[in-house]
Amino acid sequence: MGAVSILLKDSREHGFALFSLAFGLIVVVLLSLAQQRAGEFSMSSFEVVRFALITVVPLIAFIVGNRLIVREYTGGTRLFVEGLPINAITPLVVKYLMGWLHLLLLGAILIALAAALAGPAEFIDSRYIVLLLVKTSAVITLYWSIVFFASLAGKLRLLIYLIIGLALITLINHPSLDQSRLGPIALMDHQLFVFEQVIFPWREIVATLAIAAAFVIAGFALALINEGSALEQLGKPLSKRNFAAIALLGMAVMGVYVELQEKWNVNAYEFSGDQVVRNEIPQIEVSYLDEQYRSQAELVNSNLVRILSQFQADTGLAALPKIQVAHNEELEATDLYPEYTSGVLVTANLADYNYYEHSMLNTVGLHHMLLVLTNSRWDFETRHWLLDGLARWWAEGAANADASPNNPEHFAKAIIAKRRFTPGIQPLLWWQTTTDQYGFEAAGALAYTALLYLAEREGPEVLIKLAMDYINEKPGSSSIETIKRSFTDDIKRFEKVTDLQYTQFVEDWLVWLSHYENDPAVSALLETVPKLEGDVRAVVDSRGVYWLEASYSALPDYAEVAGTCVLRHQPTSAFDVETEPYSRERDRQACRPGEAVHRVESRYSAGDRTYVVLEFESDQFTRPILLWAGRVHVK
Amino acid sequence: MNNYTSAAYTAYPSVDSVIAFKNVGKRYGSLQVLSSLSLQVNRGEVYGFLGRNGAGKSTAIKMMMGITGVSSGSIELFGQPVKNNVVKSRQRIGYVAQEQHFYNWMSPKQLGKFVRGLYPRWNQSRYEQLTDLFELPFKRKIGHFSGGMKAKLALCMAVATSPECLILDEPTAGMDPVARREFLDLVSREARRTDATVFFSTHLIDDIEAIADRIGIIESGKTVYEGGLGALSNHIATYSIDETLFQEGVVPGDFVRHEAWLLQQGSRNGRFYQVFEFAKGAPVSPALDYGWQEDTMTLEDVFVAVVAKAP
Repeated sequence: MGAVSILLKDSREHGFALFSLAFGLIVVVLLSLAQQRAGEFSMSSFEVVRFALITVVPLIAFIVGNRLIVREYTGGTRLFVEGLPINAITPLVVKYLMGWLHLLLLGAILIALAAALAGPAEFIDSRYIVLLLVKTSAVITLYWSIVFFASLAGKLRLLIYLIIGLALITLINHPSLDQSRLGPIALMDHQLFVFEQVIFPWREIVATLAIAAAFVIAGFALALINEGSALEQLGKPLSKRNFAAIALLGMAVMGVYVELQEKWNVNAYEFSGDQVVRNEIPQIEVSYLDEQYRSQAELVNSNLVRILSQFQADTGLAALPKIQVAHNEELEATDLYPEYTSGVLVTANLADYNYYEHSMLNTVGLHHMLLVLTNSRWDFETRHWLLDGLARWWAEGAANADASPNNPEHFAKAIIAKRRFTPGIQPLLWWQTTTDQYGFEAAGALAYTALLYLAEREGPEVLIKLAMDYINEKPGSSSIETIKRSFTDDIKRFEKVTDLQYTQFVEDWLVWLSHYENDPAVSALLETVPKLEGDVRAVVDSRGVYWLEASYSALPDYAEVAGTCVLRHQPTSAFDVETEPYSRERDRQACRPGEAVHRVESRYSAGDRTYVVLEFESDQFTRPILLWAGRVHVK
Repeated sequence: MNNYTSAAYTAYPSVDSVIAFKNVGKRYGSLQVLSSLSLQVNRGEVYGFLGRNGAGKSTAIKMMMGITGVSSGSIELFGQPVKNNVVKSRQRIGYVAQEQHFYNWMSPKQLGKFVRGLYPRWNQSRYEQLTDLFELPFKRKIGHFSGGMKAKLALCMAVATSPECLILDEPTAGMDPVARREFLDLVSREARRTDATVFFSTHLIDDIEAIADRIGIIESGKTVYEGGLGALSNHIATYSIDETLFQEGVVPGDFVRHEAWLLQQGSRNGRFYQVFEFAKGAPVSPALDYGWQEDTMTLEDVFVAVVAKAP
């Protein structure tokens, strides 16, 4: 009876607030779902659930904890309740369950909304929904348990949130810890949360619930220490001495944390061996592992010294982050694996590098150095083309980039992509769509040629000004200002710096780009690409085995050319962002229009989705040309 | 404990005992709040629980209510150990705490709704009648009430539970005289009407004089007196002499046969005074030496003297 009375009282006291929070969350989620459905680029509706779970739901848990628990304990009404004929533990249990169930309900509503508004491409079955529900419930249980404990800590709760926040950042950033193995973080993994449809991550769920249980036990223990007198003390307002102590402690913790961060960053990547080519200013290290690759490593080093020195001279930056290159002979020649913290590490196979691949390596190194310099602020989609294009521009010689021997290939790739443009596409601003449909190479080539055009029209200084506009962008003086800046319209920034009207600039650039179809070097390359259109489908044979089948149809003016048609594929879900096949399996066939050229016995079963690309390999191009890319739903 | 304590005390536990403390001690870490508290309250009594601020009265009441546990000794309510029957005991008790921590958003009406499910003998009409008697707006938020109004509301709630025992923890502290009188009148009336036991904790002597049948005085965590008010007054007397006539080591008269001992002495308003406790009662017309006179004592004087001599 006591529990019922407390429940009714709490419902009456907080019901409207809880309902309002739920309503607000639903509105936010519906708007997000509507926005993502209206968007050009396909994203899973469950990505919105994950986003809400990371951002809005913790905030709601905090508000609910503040109302249900903090108010009761700091406001003194607990003293009234403790004189009533109710077990001492009952109000706490009711509050825990009430907040928990409320948040679980919100989680369930989020998933239901996402499922109801999911696009037709999303494959949703009961197992997937249960999996999402279980993961969501585990994460929500953890949130609420932390809030429960911190709320009971009364005046120390903000300090506890601060410590938990710092601990979380530490866990995520610590170089020797694999965050993907940490239960709650693994559950919220940006890939696995949405895309995993089959495997239950039991270990991560148990780990998350165990941490949650620890917080709940700590909360109840705190409530029962000295028959609640600890709670009574914590429920009192902070004295000046408390404030001073907490401020000191907070500063000490922050100080230690900053020290550790610097230490971790400095030691993030360390080449300890002797087979390393080093340069002091700018800081460069190239690890080559075997003497036979020393000359390649020295070439990489000298290229980077030249490019970075030019970059430094152009931008006037006093110091640059360290760039390290690690040779790994197990990779393919076109593989580039960049990582960055306070410096950049690119892993690649330098063995057979030609001029083009050297240029690609330099581009990737510079691209990630710009991300380090801007603390990743340059990574937003609508400004990504500038990041891509400027990195390539400097890698190709900056003011002398127009004379780069790689330019015909870049122009040819940009023109091939342009010929396949879907109506209405914004090839520069919609970076994800461009990479998804035409490949990373084409997206980079489009951005690069656009900037070459800008340099030719307005002079290379404008490109440097554009770069400096993003490099010098300081974080806002407050969180709100920083967030506002993140949403600053990149078109306006472009127009402000260049004094050009963006839409007109794009039109002019595309016309300018078309002229290169007549450039002898570009034209020669374009003629080596077969005018083919690809088509891929999943078929099933009489044994029930699924096959991927691809054919080509000839476009007007088709002519047979020397080269090989290649099919590559990789399993994916319906909701991947931009991607490229990482699989090394290739089905190489002669290009024959009008028949099933590729027939690949697949590992897929009904319901699976696969990302498939059709490429054309020839001696004329350094890297394959993308003829077709898309997702195939195996049915 | 004084040797003139009432018979009821020494005879405990009696079958009519509602509240019984047996050598109760309470310690918070190194702080000993109560060391040896013993008292008994019988059915139908109005028991005044007196003590200075910080003497341990509220701790004793919290232990009685089962809010806080005992460190040593035991407490029985209605003949049962408290710790085994917290919820059931509280259902038979009307409790008014020292400070009222009601939910400010509630009105008296909502408060009644909230608590009535917790008390099997909740009397809604009595609750409404009492709030009306005290002129407490039944639908106004409690957050708008004054401290006195909240205390009255607490009493209304306590009485509406139809309690067998009312436990009041310094409820009149901070009340204006009119409100205090109304409050005490209601307590007294309810005690007579329902024959409920009343345990009234206070440091205000006037409150006790107004309603108590028997009192217990607590000092430094121990019981220093338990018995009737009259018995206490009859065993203590104050004598004073002009300061210029006072001689060190001299007492007002020959009290040897009265088994008296000095509780307190000092100067006040140009007179030197001595307070004596008499084992067999203060002499009615004692033969006093030159210059000494017997002073009239209020109950407050008696209380101060008793508390002052406590170890």
